[in-house]
Amino acid sequence: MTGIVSYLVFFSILASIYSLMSLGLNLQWGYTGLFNIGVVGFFAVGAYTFAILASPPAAGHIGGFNWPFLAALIAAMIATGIVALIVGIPTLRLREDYLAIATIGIGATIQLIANNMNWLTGGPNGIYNIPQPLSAYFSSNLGYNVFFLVMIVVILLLAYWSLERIVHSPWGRVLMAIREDETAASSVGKSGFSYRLQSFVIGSILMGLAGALYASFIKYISPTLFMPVLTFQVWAMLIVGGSGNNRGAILGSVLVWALWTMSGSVVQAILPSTLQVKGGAFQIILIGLVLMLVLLFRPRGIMGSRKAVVFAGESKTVSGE
Amino acid sequence: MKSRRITSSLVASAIMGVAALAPLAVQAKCTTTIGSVMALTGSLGALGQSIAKGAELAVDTVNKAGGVNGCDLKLSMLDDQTSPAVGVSAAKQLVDIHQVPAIVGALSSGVSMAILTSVTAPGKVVQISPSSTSPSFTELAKSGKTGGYWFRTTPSDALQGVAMAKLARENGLKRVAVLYLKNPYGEGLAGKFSEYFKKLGGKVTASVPYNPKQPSYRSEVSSALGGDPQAVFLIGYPGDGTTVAREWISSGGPQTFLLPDGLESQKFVDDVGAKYMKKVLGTAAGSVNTPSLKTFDSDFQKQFGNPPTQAYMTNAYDAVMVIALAMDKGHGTSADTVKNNIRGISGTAGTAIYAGAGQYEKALKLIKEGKRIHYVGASGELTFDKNGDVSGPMAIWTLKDKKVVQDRMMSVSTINKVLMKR
Amino acid sequence: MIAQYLANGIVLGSSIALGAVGLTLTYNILNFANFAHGSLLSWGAYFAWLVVLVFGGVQSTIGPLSFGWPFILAIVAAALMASVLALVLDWLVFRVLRKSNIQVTLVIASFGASLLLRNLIVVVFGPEPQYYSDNIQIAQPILPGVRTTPDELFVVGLAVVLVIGLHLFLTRTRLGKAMRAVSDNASLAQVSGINVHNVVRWTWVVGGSLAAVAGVMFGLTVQILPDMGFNLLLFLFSAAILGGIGSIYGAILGGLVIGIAADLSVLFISPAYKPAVAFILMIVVLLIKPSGILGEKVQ
Repeated sequence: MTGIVSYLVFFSILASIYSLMSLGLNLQWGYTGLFNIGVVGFFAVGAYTFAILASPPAAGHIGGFNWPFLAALIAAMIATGIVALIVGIPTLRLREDYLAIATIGIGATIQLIANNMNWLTGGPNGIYNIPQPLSAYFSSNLGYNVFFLVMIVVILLLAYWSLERIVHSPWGRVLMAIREDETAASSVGKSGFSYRLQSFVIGSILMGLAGALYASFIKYISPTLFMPVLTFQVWAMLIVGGSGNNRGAILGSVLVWALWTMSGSVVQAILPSTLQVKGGAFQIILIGLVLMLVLLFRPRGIMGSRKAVVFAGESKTVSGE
Repeated sequence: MKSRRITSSLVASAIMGVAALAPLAVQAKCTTTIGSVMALTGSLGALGQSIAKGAELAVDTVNKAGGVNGCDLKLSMLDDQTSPAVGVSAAKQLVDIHQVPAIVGALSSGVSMAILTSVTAPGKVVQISPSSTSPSFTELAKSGKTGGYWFRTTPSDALQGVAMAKLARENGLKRVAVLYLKNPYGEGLAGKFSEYFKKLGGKVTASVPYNPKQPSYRSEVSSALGGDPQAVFLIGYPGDGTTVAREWISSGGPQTFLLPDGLESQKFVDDVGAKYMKKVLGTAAGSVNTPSLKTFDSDFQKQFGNPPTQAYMTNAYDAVMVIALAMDKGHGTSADTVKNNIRGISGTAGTAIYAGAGQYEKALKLIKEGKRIHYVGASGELTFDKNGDVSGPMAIWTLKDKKVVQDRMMSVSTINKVLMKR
Repeated sequence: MIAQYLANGIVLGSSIALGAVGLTLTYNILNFANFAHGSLLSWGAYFAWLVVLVFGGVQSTIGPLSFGWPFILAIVAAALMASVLALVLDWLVFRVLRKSNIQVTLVIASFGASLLLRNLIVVVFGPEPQYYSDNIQIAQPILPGVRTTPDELFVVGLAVVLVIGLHLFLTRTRLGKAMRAVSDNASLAQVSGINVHNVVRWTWVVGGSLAAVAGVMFGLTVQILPDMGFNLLLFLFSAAILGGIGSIYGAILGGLVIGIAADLSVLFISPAYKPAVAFILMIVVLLIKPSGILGEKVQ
């Protein structure tokens, strides 16, 4: 039984990290209509900034700054915010699909930089020896993981509470007004660009925060982590949970991550031994199938806000049907 | 209302997850389960599906010889999708829910390292990788952060890079182009080779990295061809490596190939076409003096109906074998039993035990009599140092009648002599 | 050296161009970015491989090419089968989701479909790369400093023929004109009596066929791999957007530009950054001309 508890703690930590990302994406997509498909890039910037600043000296790449946990965490968020500004300023003025393509490109480019700029990122070998906060005070692994879970849940709740506050503030109402009808909003003197940029940067900072927490929890990062499939996971989480709803974003993260990680054991249990090595492929097929079924039967996601998604969709849809 | 729905959904999903896993946690009357995390899909999927068979063959061999401490050995294998995040979750499931004392895996260094730092080292579970060659593991072990639970059955890149440089010079090659996969394996090997090839008086005409899964490798090959090389040192795995090799031949490159263990694969040679490979100089960890590899080959053929065609299959086989033998030697199944006895069944002391069920039975008998044994793997001699790394002689392989054959060895002392060179 | 990289780029670019045409058609007429488009490429390549296997006994080859007439048959069959696959996918998934009118749901569903289709290939055909022929063609000099293989010339030639055919189809046939009309303005087209459902079906057939041919071209000149289409997807998207979404000629041009730029970039930066070149080029073009090279006016 302790095994199951221990696993659930571990699972919840990773699910919370994903939840932070899908909350960030929800602010961008669900509330502002920004189609960011480079989530993994912002996650990577946060993770690498944290790892470089917090780690002890290492051969082969810059480092050894030994920053305290909190300082490195904040620096990671600032760095991600700066990258988001650089991406956002030229692209948020353009047509909305271009942000999508630009973010795809940025995500892929950041991964390439991580893999090839050895002096900065350690190249393919990645960065190891990333410190965990207060780990010296815990003797058992489970005990430490419980502490980390409490810490990350507090951060998650804080992020959730702040997001709820701001989307229901006048600022948030302007965001939604812009998303639904930019011309009307700007006629009353609200610059759409500036609001979209703010939303984009805040959302990206949450993704960077998630990256920093991941680096600290796993203690090791390398370019293999930052593949496009991660962006897809976060989108799947938001869509399944229901975009335009912060609770939906969290719920979706837990459900999709459970499907993603536990389906392996399920597939392993039901497949005959001769097909075991193909189990991985069957698992992905299962994931793809479940995802499509959810979308077919609940296209707005489990807790989707009717209003939020419909408007975001219709504003750009000229359907063939 | 809504929050209640979240809670109930969360509870439901947790129950679903646990319910799905629970039956697996129930053990048969006498089964010892060890775990394995391998890349069965994702960028290393093609490689992983083959390597996994090596581990399965070892489990079968052990069970044919009566199992571990008289119990059936079972391998719980989960896919890591070649992703560290999925890999650590899979490893954590194996450790917490399946309660395994040892994990064979992962394949890519990036996934193995994430599992090591977040699951196996803090959880005090043995991890043996058959194919992660990054030098970072040695560094981590030196700093004491692996707790001694980390091992690998593949040697570090340093030895092989040196051996290849020596081999190339012995064959009179002066100008060699290097085409390497941009991952820890490729980068490490390319770096060591270039360093020592220069020290031995050779010239690396071009050192060109390539990313996995690109739509085309024409430009990489074109730039590697500049500088008029006599041969190419191609580092990678079958798949992308095959495509790069075909592109090299098609672009008119010299058909002299230097190939590392990652490409010691009959499938690779068949797919490229042996007729296009006029001269092949290959290196791989291993020993031509032991019957282990032959036994592995014939057992594999019997089990799966086709010969083993892939590098690291033998390393995966050996990883399972040393875990099983360590459990027998220590009369237990705990992680510490495995960790503390691995060096007691490997190395060079005592009676040599080779691959195969018959040899395993012999090992059990000797252990019962209290005699020292050492397992000589299908991948070569296994002497684990204090960092969990193996060192041993390198086997030199080439093509004879279109078949991959190991024909001689390069001893540890020869390699060390080159290493000393300034 | 530059000429050689240019030639490499044209070969790569002509396959990208065909794939991008299908993508831009679906993007424009069905109005969503179809991530499953890459899987149509892969399945097309594998369908052709099956046909080539069936005719494995036929050893004769056409002139200097590495293949014989069964391969031509295989290309046609692959195009047909990929079209059927696209139609089935549309009928099972996208048709239903289109009614709900949420664009991003379609995108995510298409990503799910691409995961599923890609891994079905792994289950059915195995994860190892395949080749249409065991023989490797050695590149011959055709111009000073340029070496190509006959197969590569065939690929470029086939792409040119298909592009001309597509042009005639879109400008000379009723169906082609209807597709252009729907692409320009769906509601207006419907009012003027065009059967939109029919056009949607033919969009899948044209897009699927071109994707399959592009897949076969890659299989012929590079390799056949379960995730070949997925790995190409970002190149295809870049090409489609670079050329201007919805513009068929833009997609062709975009494909060529992306292919050539990626291959030429090796002259200046490490080949490791090659995949990034396509994106950066695309973003730069978008900043200068937001509608893409041949795109219509900005919405």
